[in-house]
Amino acid sequence: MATRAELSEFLASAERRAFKHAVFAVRDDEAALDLVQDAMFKLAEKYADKPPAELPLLFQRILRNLITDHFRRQKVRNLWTTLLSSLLPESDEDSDRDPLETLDAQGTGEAAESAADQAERGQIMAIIEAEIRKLPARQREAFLMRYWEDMDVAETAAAMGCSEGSVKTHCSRANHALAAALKARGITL
Amino acid sequence: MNELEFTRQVRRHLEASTERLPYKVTHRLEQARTAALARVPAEQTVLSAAPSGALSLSGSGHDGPSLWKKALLSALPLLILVAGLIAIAEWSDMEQADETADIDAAMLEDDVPLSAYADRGFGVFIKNTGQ
Repeated sequence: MATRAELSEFLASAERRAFKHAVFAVRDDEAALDLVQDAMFKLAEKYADKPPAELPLLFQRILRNLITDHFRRQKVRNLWTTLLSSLLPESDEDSDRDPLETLDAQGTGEAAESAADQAERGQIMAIIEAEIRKLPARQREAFLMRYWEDMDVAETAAAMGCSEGSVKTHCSRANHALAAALKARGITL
Repeated sequence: MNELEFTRQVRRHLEASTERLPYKVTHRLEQARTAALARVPAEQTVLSAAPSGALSLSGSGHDGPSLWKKALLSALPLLILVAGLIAIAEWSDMEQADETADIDAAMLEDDVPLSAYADRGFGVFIKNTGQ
């Protein structure tokens, strides 16, 4: 049984990666934060009595189910929005918006690293993330669980609800697609 | 570069990206974690905090009333209600018995014999006399 300290330690170690997973899937920071928070709540409420070794797999499964639910709800919401917006008159509010206003300012600290290196690393990071985001959902999930969460094939298959063979196929395809996409953009890791 | 090395490099970049999350995000994650830990069921916190082998329903009551006391307190109003209903039923039976005893005593002490009350002619006589 996981103690409170063990659960806290697990959540602290997994929360950032979980956030990234959710962002890759839903492409919205706020929604991703809500999903991670809900996953944490569910884990704490329902599965805190499980052994610490089982927590990563359970957390991944919960998060994955919540992401699926999110897309289901979004689908229904989009249907209603489309229906309602077709009934409302068009507004030209969006035409006044300056896209530059929405750009986030990058962090300005970290003087230890040279600005050029930092910028280059940031660019590579952004490109990798963008390419991961472009992967088909199943490939992305398998790739992240297997190579980022350090889950083995069996655990990944259990979390994704598919066979081990499918996991291997998804991972292989994701690897090749990612490598090809990065090469096409002139990035060598 | 082989596949393993490639995934290792991607992983390194992903790890680095989690270190550069904005404060708004890390703060919110921290808050979510704290809130989640507060939602761990209470009994589980007590059980996990207790030393192994000491997981029993003890009535020592070091941290408030024990489960037994709580159960007893919540059942108390029901017990009082049941006791009250039994008392009312008993009292009602005694009242009825007293009334019957009074009637019996009055009939036995009367000058008219008991068999007269069963006689139809006597009933008619009483009725006519009363008029």
